[in-house]
Amino acid sequence: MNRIAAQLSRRREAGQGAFCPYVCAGDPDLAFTERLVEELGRSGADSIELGVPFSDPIADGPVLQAATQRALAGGVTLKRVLRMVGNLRNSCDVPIALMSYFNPIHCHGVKRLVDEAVRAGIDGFIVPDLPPESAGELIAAARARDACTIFFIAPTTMPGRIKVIDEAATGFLYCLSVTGITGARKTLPAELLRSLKALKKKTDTPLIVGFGVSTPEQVRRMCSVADGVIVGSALTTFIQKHAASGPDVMIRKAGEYCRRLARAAHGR
Amino acid sequence: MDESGRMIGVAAGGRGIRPGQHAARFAGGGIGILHGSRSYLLQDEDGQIQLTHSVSAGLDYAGVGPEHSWLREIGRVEYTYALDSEALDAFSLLSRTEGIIPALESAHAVAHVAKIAPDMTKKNIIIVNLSGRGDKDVQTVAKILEASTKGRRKKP
Repeated sequence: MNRIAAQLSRRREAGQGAFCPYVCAGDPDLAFTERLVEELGRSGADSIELGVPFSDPIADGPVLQAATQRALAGGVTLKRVLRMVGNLRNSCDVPIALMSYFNPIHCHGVKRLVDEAVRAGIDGFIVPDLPPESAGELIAAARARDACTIFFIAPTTMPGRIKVIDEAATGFLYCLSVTGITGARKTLPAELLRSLKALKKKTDTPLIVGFGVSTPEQVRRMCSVADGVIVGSALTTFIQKHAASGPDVMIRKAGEYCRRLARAAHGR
Repeated sequence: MDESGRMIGVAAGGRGIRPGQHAARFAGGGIGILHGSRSYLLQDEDGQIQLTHSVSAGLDYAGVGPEHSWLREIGRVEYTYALDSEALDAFSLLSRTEGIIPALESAHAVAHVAKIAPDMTKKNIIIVNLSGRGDKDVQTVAKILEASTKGRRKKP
């Protein structure tokens, strides 16, 4: 069974939420990312969303844009990210979903990318600027390799379209908490829990909430309805705060942060 | 659509066709996907979008409307480009000779007319599409002209 699907179903059966941190690959370099993902995997992360830096990250807020810029300045490319994942798989088994905007994938060749990524150890694909209606090639290639294709449900998604998105989605549905870009929010919309409950009645696909989630309290609230959360900007900001202390401290602190939020998600 | 007329599209050559210095998507661009459409894009070999430059803000973008890519692929429209300096000269030329201030975008087309018209006969008809008015651009142009006049004074 696919690693992402297996892990999320284990959490669901145990009545627990899943904690899925987002990491921008190559921020500030790929050697750091390799160690970071390993540490997060050891620290209770259920699945990692690994972002491929892109010049025009339309869904990302200032924190992740800056992370992207640091990674691109270091010359990170899709190919190098996959090579790093290949190395990582010698020592780390945490499920990984590759997040990339579509142009680098299109440029590489969709099928070729999926084949190479899965061979490297990627378990699923998140392509924020590729709607399911246009994702036929990606879906076919991923299905053939038992990899997940993860699509988004936004607060503005029309009810009629939810079915289309759900049929294309495997692994989980990425539920946007807000109509906006990534980045920690002090408060999340009040109607979010209600719409997640409504969505849950329509699908068995796990619901993972992302964008804006940052505190253990928010994680607990989201996991009371949804199957889990994705936290990206808040983790990146936290790691960056320790940048002056060097990579060893940054990795250790990231692990502590991950354990705290994972505990909140797992309800312990 | 009438298919007898020759059609020419004039893109933004900026400071010349070098990465980051222009926005002429058919000169150096490849097929890519950005902002929801598949078209010619200025990108590197990894699919990262390149920076662009044009004196005209409206042309300073890495992609081109997919309609243009189509018209080019079926051979209906030929595409070329004009440099910033040529567009600025055309901006002044049309303003002085016709009293019409063209938008800096449209000034690229006027620049191309000035290049090809001398080789045509009086019988030939040229239609230039002034897609926008240049009132919005006078401050931009004034700044550039001012800077270039000052530059000239410094180096007599």
